[in-house]
Amino acid sequence: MNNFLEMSKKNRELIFSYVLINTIVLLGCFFMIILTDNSYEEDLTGKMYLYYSIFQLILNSILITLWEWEKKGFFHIAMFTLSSFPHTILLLSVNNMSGLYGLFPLIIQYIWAMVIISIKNMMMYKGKSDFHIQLILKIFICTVIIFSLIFFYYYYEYRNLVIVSIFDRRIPLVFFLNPVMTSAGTAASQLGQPNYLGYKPLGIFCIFWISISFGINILIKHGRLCYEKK
Amino acid sequence: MCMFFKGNSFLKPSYNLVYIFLSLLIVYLIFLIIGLGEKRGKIFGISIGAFSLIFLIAFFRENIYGSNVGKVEIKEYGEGVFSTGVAYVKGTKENSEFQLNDGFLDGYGEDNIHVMPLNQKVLALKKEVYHIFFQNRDEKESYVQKLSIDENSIVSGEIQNILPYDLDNSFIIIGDTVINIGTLNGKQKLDIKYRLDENLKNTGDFNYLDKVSTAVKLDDEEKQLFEQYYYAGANPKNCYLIGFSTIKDKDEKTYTMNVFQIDFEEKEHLNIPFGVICPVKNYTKYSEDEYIREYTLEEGEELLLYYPVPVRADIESLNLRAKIDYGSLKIEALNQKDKKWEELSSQLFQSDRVKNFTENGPLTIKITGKGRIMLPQISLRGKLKSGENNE
Repeated sequence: MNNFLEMSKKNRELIFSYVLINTIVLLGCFFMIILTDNSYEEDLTGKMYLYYSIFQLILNSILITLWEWEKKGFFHIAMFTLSSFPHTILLLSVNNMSGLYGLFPLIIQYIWAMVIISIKNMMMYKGKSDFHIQLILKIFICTVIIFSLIFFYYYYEYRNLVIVSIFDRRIPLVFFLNPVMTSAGTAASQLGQPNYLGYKPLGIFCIFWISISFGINILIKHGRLCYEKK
Repeated sequence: MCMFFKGNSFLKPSYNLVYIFLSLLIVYLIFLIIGLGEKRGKIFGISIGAFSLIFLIAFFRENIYGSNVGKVEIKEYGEGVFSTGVAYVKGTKENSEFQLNDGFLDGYGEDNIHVMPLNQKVLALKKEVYHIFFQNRDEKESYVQKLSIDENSIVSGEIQNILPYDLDNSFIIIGDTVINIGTLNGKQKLDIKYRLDENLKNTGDFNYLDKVSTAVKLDDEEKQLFEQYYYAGANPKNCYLIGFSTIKDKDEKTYTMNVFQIDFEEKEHLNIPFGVICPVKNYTKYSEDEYIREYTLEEGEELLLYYPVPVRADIESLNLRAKIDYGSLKIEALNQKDKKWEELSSQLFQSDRVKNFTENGPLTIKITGKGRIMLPQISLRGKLKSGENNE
């Protein structure tokens, strides 16, 4: 029963550093807000929640590449994402938002972490060297998070789009496979930005990436069977 | 009334609770450090779960955010209570409804808001901050405080904070004198014995406000409210006790400047110090700038000042004090007996002639010429006519 709480020391250190960095960033944000405590600037804490959720996601995807897969790994990664839930809750309460809203960034982070870990597992299984695993993971993360934003920028420029919010009708849904876009859009619509797409982007993101990670996991299992038969 | 920016800051979270949450985060980190050791994986896992739960419970238990209604008001306690102010209402979701419990409500013509004065409700259609003007009037009781002034200009008596909560930065203004009191606790009584030293003598509007706020050490918000009250010029008698209070309710936070009118106890002798009687101004030119204690006259302009003098007073001496900042001005007083203007001189208000100026109406002063003047202030000494009390 207690077995599922046991993690390797490396993973625990990873979680600890994740929480530590998050706490430092949050302290810095609040320090900044309290220092510049002027009543004219509206919605500073709201912006903080938006940027912080993006930061959390990027930090999450950087650190998760170092993760070591163990038994009950699904649960351990859930704990990894849950470890920064207090920070999110604090920001939500400062913004006077519903506590349920905090679940959305958690879900996005969990799914995204699972995708990265599945790809890592697959490559481990294929016997790639540690260097190649890290290289390919970083290229993958960069492609999905950064390059897709650059593509989006070109699209925006050449189609002469007029965009009022992140969840805008004119943005093709493909771009919401980018976790940063989905996370930022969810946070922004929670903060009161107009949302023209409803839960569509979140749904597409979840379905796509869950099916990808499931597919990879099935491939690994299937592959192991083939390997053992040989 | 965009001056009341204090209300906006009320809609922000209270940072004390944020500090508590942040220190909880550091405790969380310490637990994680403990969990890092060999064979302590359980502590690590449990602390993650436990702290997430603690934060979630604290989130639902403690309302960091507090209220969505912040009010800033000026409340006058005289013959009744009259309050006027601005309520800052923040819509947290679409179509959020607020109960304000104020008599008169006005939405300033803002869009996306429905003001329902009959059931004292406001319906905010969007997630925005709205400003709603409100006024209340309650004339059931008299809250006027009594002090007395003796022949040597010493104010004595007892003032009381009739409210159940503390008044911060309270002060008394009697004419040209400001008396700093500091914090008055709820229901606290305070004996006062103070010689009127006229520390606001011959000041214009700017200097007056500046001197008061440095003497009492008013902060920006308090100073703004006081300025608002000062320029409204609502009080015909420059004699009041002011204190600031903050009430934090579950539903709303209210920041109030409480003004208690002070009256003088009627004794046999009468002593009204400089600055207490505010003149009523009558000028020929329309002026955009508002002046209370000073005036700038242009060529050919005429300023008439009326000083209401107590009806039952038997005035023995009248002193008049004015300061001409620059220019050449002619100051005349109306002799009501002979119906003619007499130029001001040191012998004008001699004891036997005072009645000519005050008996058949208010003391009337006319200022002509070109220049800037700190308006004349008068002080009265005399006796109260005893007996009949008919007006």
